[in-house]
Amino acid sequence: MLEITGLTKSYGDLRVLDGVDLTVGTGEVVGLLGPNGAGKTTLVSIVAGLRRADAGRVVALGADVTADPGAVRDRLGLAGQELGIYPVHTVAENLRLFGTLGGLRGPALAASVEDLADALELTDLLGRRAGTLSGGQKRRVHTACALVHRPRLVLLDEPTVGADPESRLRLLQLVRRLAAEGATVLYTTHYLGEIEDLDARVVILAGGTVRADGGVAELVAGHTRREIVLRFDGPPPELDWPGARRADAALHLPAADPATETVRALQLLGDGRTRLTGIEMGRASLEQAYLAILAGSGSGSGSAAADRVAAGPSGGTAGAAR
Amino acid sequence: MTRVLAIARHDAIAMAREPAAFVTLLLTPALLMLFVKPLYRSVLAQSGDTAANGAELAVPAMTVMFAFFMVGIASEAIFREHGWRTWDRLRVSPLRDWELLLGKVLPSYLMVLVLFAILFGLGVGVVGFRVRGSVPGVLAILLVLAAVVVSLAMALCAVSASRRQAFAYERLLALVFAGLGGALVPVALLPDWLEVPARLTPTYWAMRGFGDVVLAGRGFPAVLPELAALGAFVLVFGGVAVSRFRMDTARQHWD
Repeated sequence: MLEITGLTKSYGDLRVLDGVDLTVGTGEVVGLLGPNGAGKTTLVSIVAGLRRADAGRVVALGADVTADPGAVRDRLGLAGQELGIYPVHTVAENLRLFGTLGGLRGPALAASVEDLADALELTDLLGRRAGTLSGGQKRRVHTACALVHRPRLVLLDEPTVGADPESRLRLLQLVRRLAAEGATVLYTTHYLGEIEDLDARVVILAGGTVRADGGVAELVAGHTRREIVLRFDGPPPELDWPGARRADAALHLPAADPATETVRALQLLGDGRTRLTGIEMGRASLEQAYLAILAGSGSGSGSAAADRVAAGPSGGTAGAAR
Repeated sequence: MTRVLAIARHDAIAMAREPAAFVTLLLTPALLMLFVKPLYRSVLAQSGDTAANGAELAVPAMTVMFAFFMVGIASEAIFREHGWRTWDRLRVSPLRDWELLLGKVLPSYLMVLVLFAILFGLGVGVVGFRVRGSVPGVLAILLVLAAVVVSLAMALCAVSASRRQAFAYERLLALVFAGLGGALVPVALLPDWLEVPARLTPTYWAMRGFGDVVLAGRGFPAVLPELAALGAFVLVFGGVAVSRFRMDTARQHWD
């Protein structure tokens, strides 16, 4: 269990975290999202005890980390954003060091190294020096070093940067397994598809505050709308449809139930149907919800991104976000 | 203690797999001992010790001089963790701060002792080095001198933001210590006014101690003042390290 209350942190005049409240339950995966500079890494660093908060409280696994940053280190696993491995040591030596520091010895250590190596496809690489590995392999070793001592609180800060799709799949499987085994997992990423795959609870951080907090389906439903896209040979015709938008050779029609409303749209088109070249029923995604939330929060990058969404096949709208 | 040994073992492996710096610091004084031995024989003969073969000065002098170049190897143990971005990983592990630092210091201390052992071994076996007085006195000086080297390394880590900066301090101090302290030229041959600044270097006290037991043939008690002086350097450098070292400093490696 991780409970963050009123967390505030500034670097000089720049307030990076401004009263962040966040809770991650035991066995839960929370995807922490936000644009670059949103404060995700700072938040993770404070939880790990690497940085001091200006104000607020972090209680991790029942211990007040803000008062005693070292209180949960034997049960904490952190894979930071930047690769941190020993290049002149073998993969096995890297894993054994962090396992030993985490309190594992003898057969328990060997079993944990073997298990993680298997989970992250490192078994054949255990004897190789880490510095000779590919970027994706190094990333897996980096993550494995954070997990080898079987932590109960797992902080993964963009763990799949530079990883190939197979590595990413392996890691997501491992994260799901850790949560199923009772670990509390805080996972930051810019790959929103990973959060959907994990079916994690989503917390969106922007401007130093939490802008949204909820399940993937909940955020998508609350902050996006589905639409029908009709494509034409030439300019699209005018249509009496609430919220209709014409863009190039396409007509975008907001629709709560695209399957049903497509029939009505085609009826309304009348003779315009002769120039119809295609019909798309856009499926809203977490990415669209995310961008809409950022746009609603006034984040610069979010506004720009929301413009891109608006031009897409199933454009989201700037919904009310927290 | 298991965690300290885990870090120390891990560091020893790193040192063993990247031995170039150590080998350089071993071969250079080993060769220089042979080259400067005749020079030191002349110096000792002029001072009235015609029985000396020059190795009595050459071996300790080159060893002490290059001991302070080993400061770089010891400080590298800290800075490379920052270069590899593993420092913060260690900080979030259950390691206590003192365990981490002790685990870093131990292999460096042993490495300096290994350097001493090899150089004195070559001195005895190849260069003709003999101790006229207390052998335990020689060993005691070497043990405390190694502590001076490692404590200086930690002090430089504490006051340097980057390996490059620490390297500049290391080179400056190593040369000043050698020049003033009598490792290049016996202090007796230096101008009188340099006697006082020479006493402010650990090299001076180490060389004086070696002079007592190796050349003058004195017993262990004769080197106690020199051991105390060297111990004082350990306290001063260690004090700087303890008071100035911050675990959360974002140190830079070479780049």
